[in-house]
Amino acid sequence: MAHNRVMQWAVLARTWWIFDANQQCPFRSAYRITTYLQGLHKPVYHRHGDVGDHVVVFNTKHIAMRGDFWRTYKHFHHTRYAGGFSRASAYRVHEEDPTRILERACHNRLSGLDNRRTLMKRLHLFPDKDIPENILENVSGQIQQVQVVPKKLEDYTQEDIDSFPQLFKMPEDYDIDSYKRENRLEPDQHTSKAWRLK
Amino acid sequence: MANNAIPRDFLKNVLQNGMGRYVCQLQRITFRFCKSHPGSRHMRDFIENHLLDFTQKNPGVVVYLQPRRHRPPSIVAEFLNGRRESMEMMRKEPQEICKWAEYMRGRSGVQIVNMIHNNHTETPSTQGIWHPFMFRDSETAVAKFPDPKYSAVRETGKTATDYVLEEFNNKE
Amino acid sequence: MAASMASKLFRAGARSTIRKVSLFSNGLLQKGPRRNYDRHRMRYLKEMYQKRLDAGPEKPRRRSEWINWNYDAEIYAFGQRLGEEFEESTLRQAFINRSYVEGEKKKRAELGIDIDAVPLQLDDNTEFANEGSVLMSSYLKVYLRNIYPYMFEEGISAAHDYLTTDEMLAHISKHIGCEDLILSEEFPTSSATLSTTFKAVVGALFSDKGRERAEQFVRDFVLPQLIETDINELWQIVNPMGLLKAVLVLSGKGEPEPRLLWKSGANTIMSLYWVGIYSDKDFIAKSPGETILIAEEMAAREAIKKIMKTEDSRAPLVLGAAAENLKLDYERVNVSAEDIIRKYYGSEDPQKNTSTSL
Repeated sequence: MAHNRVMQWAVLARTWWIFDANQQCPFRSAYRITTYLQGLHKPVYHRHGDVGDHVVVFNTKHIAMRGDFWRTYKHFHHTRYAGGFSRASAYRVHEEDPTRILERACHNRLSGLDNRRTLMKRLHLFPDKDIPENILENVSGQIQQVQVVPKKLEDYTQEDIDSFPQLFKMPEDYDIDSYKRENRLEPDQHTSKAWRLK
Repeated sequence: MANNAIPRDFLKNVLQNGMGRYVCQLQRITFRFCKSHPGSRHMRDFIENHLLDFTQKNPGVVVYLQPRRHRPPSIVAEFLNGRRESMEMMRKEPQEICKWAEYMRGRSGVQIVNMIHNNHTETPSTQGIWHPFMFRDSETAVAKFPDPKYSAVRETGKTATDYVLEEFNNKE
Repeated sequence: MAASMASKLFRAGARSTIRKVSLFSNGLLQKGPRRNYDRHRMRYLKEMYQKRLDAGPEKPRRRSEWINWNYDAEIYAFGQRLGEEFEESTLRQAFINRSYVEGEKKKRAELGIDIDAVPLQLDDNTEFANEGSVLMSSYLKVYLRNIYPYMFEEGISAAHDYLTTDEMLAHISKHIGCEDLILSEEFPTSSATLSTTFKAVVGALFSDKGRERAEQFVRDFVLPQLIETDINELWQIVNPMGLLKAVLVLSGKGEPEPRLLWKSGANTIMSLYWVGIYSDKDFIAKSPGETILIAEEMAAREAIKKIMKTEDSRAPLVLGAAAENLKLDYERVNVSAEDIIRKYYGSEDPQKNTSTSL
């Protein structure tokens, strides 16, 4: 009987997972994260069973959105008072609160569930690599990332850059580093003044 | 179900009947009838022609005959778990009375309610029930999270850069 | 005429459909048939219900007090139902309690009949009960020792004690049909009387049909009650780690080493730890737990279960048809945990004896 008690505890235990959101699409990450929040990854899953796990997400500041979603994807809010409707682009929301985009993505993914608020309480979001020690001690597993983190030019060592085979033969007077000195326009010059960042 | 108005129960086996030996759970059966009333005609017919077959087949069941004046015929079955069940036998042919007697003989005496599950077992699992750490790689037990080894996407496929480097190395 | 009419009405009682006569011209009686419901009927029924409640429940009566009762038929059917051929006299004796014999003697004394002149030919069932009890106890222990050859003697005794409690035997005897057949002064029958009667039935079978038949009876009715229970929970081990250490060291293996296997949610209420026990770097058993200490204790218990070969994945008891050709070693002796503890801890420090108790 006592053994049954600990076995039941073990089967229905709430484990803690960690996820690195660096260079990840928030919507695809939300799909994976909410799977673990609901407990769909467990064979003992049932909606009424409260078998979901905790998920700790860090590096939410460094998420990546495709295309022009930073500008075109809007978050809406209504204060339920007259004239209380507002909307903001993703980049503005991200400036305000770097965890909000991923949080809203997970929240929207869980729509229709009546235990959505409980599940969202088990999602812990951190903008940077700084995670409190007491939370980090709970973690027992890591969720695989959704997208490959592309290796930036800064991540290559000078040796790698030099040893990479030359694919094209450039003319002698071609200035290779000219892209660094390219005439960069001020941001948002292509749009009307009303839409520019202040 | 959340509704408790309609009684329901799990399946029960009285005293693990059948695990050791099978014991017929019907202890005694009483046939009540009137000696003269026409309503008991079928019952009297049953007693004359079919009752002895029943008693010979079931020596472990005590059969009582209880004549009651001006009352309708019925059978009362008493089971080993102390319960009594009675059934009206008015307007039932002797063949039907035989069947009802046989029905009482085959019962376990437990009250008939809705089944919660139509099966019951003491050992639901012999291999053990799944738990979150059953199929986890034991290396993750000593890992310090977050670990890029467990985080990175596994199947990345060949990128253009890989292809170029491979071709270049092959050429060399 | 009026008086007879009135008396008819009175005798008709509370029945609602009474055709009232319209001979009277005072407006007290209604004219014609009743067209509404009898408002008095509900009040009448309520009052009768309350009277029944005030009178209290029916007093409990023996089954033999009802009209449809034949003791001879019942005794015969009892044997047939169980599939055993009893001698009628021994079976009757098995149901006669001492209190019944005393009661009969008292009645005869009250009636003035001399006991010596007309001796009471009633023997009670105490002798049968003693024989049956002894046979049942010994057979249960022999059977359990053979089925679980590696189980410690204390565990076997615990299982035997569980099966031979008064409540358990009373439960069994009730569901066989002993309750109605018992002859005793007390009513309702206590569990002590019921269990004595069951033992007496076993004893009666032993004296009629011999040891094998009686043992089969015990195997068919008493042992299946172990099916629903976990045999390991019947024996309370106080210090499983101490016992495990003694067992392993005395059998030549290394001391048990508990290691943390998995943990999750260490800082939360829903913390989970898996602890495994190793001896000489060989895995023995593991168990989960809410805290590390609980997990370690449960793992030690699992290890002892593994040593006794009574894990949850053990084979079921051999009962029914499978047990017909069962050959048991009646002389078998199982290892005693107490001996192991004394051997291991007693040889070192005498003070250690007090800390390890079963």
